[in-house]
Amino acid sequence: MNVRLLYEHSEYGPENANMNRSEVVQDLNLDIIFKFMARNDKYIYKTVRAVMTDCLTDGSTILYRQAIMMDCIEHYEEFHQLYEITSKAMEETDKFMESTRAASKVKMSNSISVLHSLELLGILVSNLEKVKEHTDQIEDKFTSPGMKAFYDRLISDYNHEFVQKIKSSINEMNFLTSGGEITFSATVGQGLKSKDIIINHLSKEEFKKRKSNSLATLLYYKLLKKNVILLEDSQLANDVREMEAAGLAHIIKMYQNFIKELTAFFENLHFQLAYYIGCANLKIRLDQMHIHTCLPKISNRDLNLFRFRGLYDLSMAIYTRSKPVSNDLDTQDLDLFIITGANQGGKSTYLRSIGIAQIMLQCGMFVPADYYCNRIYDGLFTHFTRREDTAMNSGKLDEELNRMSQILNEVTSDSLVLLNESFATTTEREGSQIASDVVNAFYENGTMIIMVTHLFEFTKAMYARKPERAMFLSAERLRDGIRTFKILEKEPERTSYGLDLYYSIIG
Amino acid sequence: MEFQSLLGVNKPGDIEPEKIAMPKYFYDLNLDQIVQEIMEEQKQYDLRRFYYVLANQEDINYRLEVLRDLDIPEIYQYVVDFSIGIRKAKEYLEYIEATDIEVQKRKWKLDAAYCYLTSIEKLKQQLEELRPSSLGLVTFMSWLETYMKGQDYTEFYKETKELMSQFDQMKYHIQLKRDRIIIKPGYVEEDYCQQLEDIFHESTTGNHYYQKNPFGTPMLSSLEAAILNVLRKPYADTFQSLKEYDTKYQHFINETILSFELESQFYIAFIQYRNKMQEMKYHFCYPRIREAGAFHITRGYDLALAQKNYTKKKEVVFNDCVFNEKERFMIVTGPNQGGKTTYGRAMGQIVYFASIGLMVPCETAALPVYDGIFTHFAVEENLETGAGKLKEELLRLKDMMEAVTPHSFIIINEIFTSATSYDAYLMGKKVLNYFMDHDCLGIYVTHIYELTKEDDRIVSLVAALLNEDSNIRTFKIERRPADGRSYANTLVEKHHMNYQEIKERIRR
Repeated sequence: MNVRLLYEHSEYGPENANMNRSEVVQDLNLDIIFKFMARNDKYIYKTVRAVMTDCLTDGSTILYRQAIMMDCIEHYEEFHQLYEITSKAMEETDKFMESTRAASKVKMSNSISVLHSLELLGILVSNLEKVKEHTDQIEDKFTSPGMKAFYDRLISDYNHEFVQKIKSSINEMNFLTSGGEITFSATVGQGLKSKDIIINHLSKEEFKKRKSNSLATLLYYKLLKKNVILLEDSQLANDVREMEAAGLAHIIKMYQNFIKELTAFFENLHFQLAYYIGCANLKIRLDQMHIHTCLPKISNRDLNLFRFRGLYDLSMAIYTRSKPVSNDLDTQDLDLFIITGANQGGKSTYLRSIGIAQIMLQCGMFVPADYYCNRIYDGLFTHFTRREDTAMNSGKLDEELNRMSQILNEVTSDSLVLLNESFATTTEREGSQIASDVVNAFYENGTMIIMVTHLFEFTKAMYARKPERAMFLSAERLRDGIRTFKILEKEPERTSYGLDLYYSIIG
Repeated sequence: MEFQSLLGVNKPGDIEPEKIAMPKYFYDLNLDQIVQEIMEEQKQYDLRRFYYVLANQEDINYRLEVLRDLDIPEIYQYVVDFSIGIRKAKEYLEYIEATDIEVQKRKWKLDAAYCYLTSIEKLKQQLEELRPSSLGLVTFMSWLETYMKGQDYTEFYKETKELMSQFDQMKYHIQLKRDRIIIKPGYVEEDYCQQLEDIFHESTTGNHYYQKNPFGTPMLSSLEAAILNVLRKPYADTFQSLKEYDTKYQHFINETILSFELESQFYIAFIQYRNKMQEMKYHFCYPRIREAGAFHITRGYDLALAQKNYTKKKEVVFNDCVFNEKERFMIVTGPNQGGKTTYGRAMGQIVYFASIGLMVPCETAALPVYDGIFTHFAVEENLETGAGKLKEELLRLKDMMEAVTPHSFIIINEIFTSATSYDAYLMGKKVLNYFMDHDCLGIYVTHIYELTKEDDRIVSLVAALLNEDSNIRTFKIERRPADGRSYANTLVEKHHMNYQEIKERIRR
């Protein structure tokens, strides 16, 4: 059965947004957020990492997830219990698999492997009953279409009658492995060997007290009833037992699909619940620190609104355990933001706050702001300078251009690209030229660019041209050199006030 | 014309496969790895003799035609299926020796014959449908037709089919109890697995046969032997016919069929290898071969390196090689590790594959016919012979100079490195003149750029750097004077990131 808590119509997404994932995670400090959401649960960590680096591109799925997330936040205890049940089920099956794997180092005979499958099936079915029981109890709390549909599928796909049938057939199999009678048919194939073997039926053999065969019986079978062979010859008896075991293994194959399906059901349910538990963990912990969040609004493509109030960098909030400086913006139909200004003025933080919020929006989460509205992009990319190894050599520029080139392989005209001090690893003239080519090409294709840069030659020229859909922002620096960490609309300046820093440190 | 061989107009001479050694140039050109890889694709056959010998022009074109036919997916698949069928027939014949039960020996032979015959029938029918156009396959088909029309064949086929259909009727069911088994003729259709399926609402069609017989050996298990004993009586007639059939037909596999099966592997192995490389997005083309035509290769690459780079996710650089009229030698200079040796190998590999009548690793290729490929790559000093490096090089060179013909392709890599530059220049000049006077074509990789001057027959190639100041190799081999240092490429060009290119790369 499909769980479908992440997507309304399927277990896995269709084509989602293109992203340069590992760069995005690194540049936006996402790892600190994942860890915070996981609360030491490694599985939740893995899950939120996977889901949040796979952004959605359609609004309906975003709303679908938002609703489920709200259910989960609202009824955290109940959801958490359900998550615990699936965790236990996964643990049990994993443990069982582990033990059989250890055992199977010695070649398993057919009948033992049949027993294993049966046991696994038993574990899965009993856990399925637990899930059903728990959801039955909390079903009235579901308000989201996703949870409601999940419950409906659960009670129809795995209805009582079906579960009982499976349970009774498991019993039947158990009895067969302990002794019974099996009939099969076959044809004679290549080299007179048996072929096209099917099982006709199984039946319980009546318990008879075993008595040794008298000479008369033996003669009777040897001479008259040639088609009945008594199993005295030990090689023949072995062959017969082997044939029987092969038959049972063949039967258990019929259960294999169901075992697979049920295993997948638990895996998916576990995974998908883990994501929502992670979201709820984050929300609850932020609430405890009195840090605001909101459900974001989705602007449609044509209106192209980009507005936010009280937007802050979530990774910094988690790091400092307090609400950092926040920013506001209110724009419409702009595709290019060029951010300049003082060093240490909060530019990177600003860029990151937008990137994180956009990713959370496109995963169906709440966002770190009082209000946030933007459109959905079909690609999200970051290109941040790697400060740790900034060296003025062409090898460095090569690396930088290479990363940009990777982005160009994936980017579309409907993507969001965040640039942070790109092309600063060469001379200002060269860097400005490259930046100009890159930014103008993006701009003309309609790709959304938010760029932090110190390339004055470039920003000056851009500002002189004043493209229609562009806005120039700057990190605020008060006259006495104090940084407010606010980003405001302002003409680019030649200096980034690096001297401030020089004086403050060197004196 | 009568069919002789799938590899050429005439039947290849009977050479013991083991007696053909790997050509010397295989190691230098990394062909040892590549050809090994190709032969691995069909390792149940010994294909060395086909890959170790260059072909003449007639045979090259004969093979290229056959390859084009076999490159049609249907034809390819049919020939592969045919080979599998013939192999299976041979395997069944081997099983005769694996059993002691007379009646089972006979049945294995019948099965082998049936497999052999149906493979032939199927191949004929399929080839007729697809009408291959190569001389090789067309003559094979007409040979096949004659063979199949023969009285021996038709009678053999008829009797085999009849007897097989009798065996198809042989069925039984068996009850396994704790202390006894009960065997009866006839098949019971009731299917237990079907009943299980109904619980899971799954639907499959057909019976749920065991995936395989639990007794996998060609011999009969005790259980099967017991079953056979019971079946002998109700099916006595069938077993009697089998006995008569066995005495009548002793050896039935035709030699031409066997050589067709073997020779087709030359193409099949190559096609499988090529498909693998194509999946990695490496290109191949059919070469155009003229006796003394132009030499023109575009976007060639080193197959061994390409495969290695693919696993490392590194790009491969493609290079051209064009000899205009009168031009005889390419002299490649430029920085260390700039792709010079790879260039020599790549072109050598292309010449090799063209010369055995297969597709070549480049985008276009027009080549003359070669009767020999000669390579001279630097080797480690040989401690055993005690000879110095230069001496050893010269010895090898002498052998080469004696062996070349006007139709030889020469690749010399970093020769005379242990001599002074001036000496290396003088010796190099002599060597080049010798080969060019003998009308050989070749590639000469060296550091001595003075060699590129003063001769119309020499072309200067340079391994390019990204720009003057950088030491980044592009692995592009460019045709230009050796001392010019106009490294015009920029990083931006390398990454295809000028304004126009970026605009085009953004998908809408």
